Amino acid sequence: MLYKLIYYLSILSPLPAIIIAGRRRSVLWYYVLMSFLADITSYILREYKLPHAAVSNTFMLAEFVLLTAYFKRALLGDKYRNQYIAIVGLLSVWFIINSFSRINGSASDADGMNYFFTSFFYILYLLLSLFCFYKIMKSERLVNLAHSSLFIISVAILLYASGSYMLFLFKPYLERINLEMMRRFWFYLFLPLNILKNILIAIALYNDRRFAQ
Amino acid sequence: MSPVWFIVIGISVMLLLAMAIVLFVVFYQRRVIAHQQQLNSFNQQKEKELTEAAIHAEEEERNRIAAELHDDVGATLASVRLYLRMADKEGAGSEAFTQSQHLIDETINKVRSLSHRLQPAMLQKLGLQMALHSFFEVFNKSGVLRIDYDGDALPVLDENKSLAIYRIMQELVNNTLKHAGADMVEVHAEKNDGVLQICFSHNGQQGIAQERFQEYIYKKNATGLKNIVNRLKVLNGSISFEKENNWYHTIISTPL
Repeated sequence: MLYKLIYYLSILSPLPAIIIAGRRRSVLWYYVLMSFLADITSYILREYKLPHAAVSNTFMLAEFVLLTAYFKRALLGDKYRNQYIAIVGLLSVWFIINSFSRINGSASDADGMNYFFTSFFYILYLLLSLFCFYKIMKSERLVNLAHSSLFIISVAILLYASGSYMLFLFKPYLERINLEMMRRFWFYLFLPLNILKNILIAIALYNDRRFAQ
Repeated sequence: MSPVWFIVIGISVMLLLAMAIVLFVVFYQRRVIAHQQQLNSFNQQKEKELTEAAIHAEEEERNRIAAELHDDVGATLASVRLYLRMADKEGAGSEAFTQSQHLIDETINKVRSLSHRLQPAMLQKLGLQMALHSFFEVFNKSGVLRIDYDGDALPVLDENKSLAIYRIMQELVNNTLKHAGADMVEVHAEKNDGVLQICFSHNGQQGIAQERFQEYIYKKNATGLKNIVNRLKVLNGSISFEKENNWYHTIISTPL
């Protein structure tokens, strides 16, 4: 029962952010929208016992593209656009190729989800969040942290990625040796972190809307 | 130890590290903000001290010039007038001679008036209310400007405050004469909860709007306005502007 409650909350947690942003369609808005759509689709596929690895992998890729786009704009502005596109493009292609081999069953992940690359992405998000903190601390302009959407998003992603990185890295192993423990991690760690992340994104979008007016 | 526990410990360490980093950033930023506020407060205090020193130096200089005008130039002109009267009695009464006497009388009056404007003796002897009354009367008598002054609520103030408010009123009247094109001025003082408010209103064609006040301050020729603002800074006072029914109001507020 508790598992179901946490699961449903996790699926619905992006909704406040989607509603609060209103017509201000930013990269983060698309991110929470993708998160919501991916969770709903996965839920429906699971209910009908259909494979959902493609949906999960697609979301991981979209998450990578959108979050790196957000951090790139926050840290570098409009500079190094071509380099950013080249690096993200290469990593995306590599992810897609790697994911296809897993879905076809030739790699180690039984359900076809690309956990290895996801772990790598989470390390990247961790580092990008730390760079954002560094930028905030070095800023000449005094930043009110409670009103700074950059700070709030960085906290959200840092906590989410910190808790999820090792989980995703060892998920296939944990599922083999102790499925119950893995379920506990998923429902008591990953999903609450996901909920927290989406709430913090909603707060950040609210701040953007409030202080931009 | 089961490998699962290593994973648990690993996840816990990462989460704890993440929270520690967030807390570090929060506390660091608070320290920076506190330090910046301290610095701003220190800078404001220094700026105020510098302004006070500048105003004090200006007043000292005015006093010195007023004293020299009165004691030196005034005395010399008085001597010239005395000799002219003596010469007149001895029968040198040509028209040029009479004109010279009139010019000397006029010059003596101007020097006296200039000396009093530089160093308002009445302010020191009789206080702010009488000094303002006397100052405004000069304009009423001249017919150039009619000034209705209601200063009954004006309390007794210390020397520095009185002088600052007197100078502010001088600047406001000068600005009105130079730029506003007004023929009527009303000055009303009142006391509210430990704050002295003086409202200076005129019916001129031109005045200062609150929205454009900051713009005026940075103009090259806005010396009068800058002087007012500097004097108010020293008093921890403020100035605001309103327009109502074709009257321009300048409201000076200063804590008592």
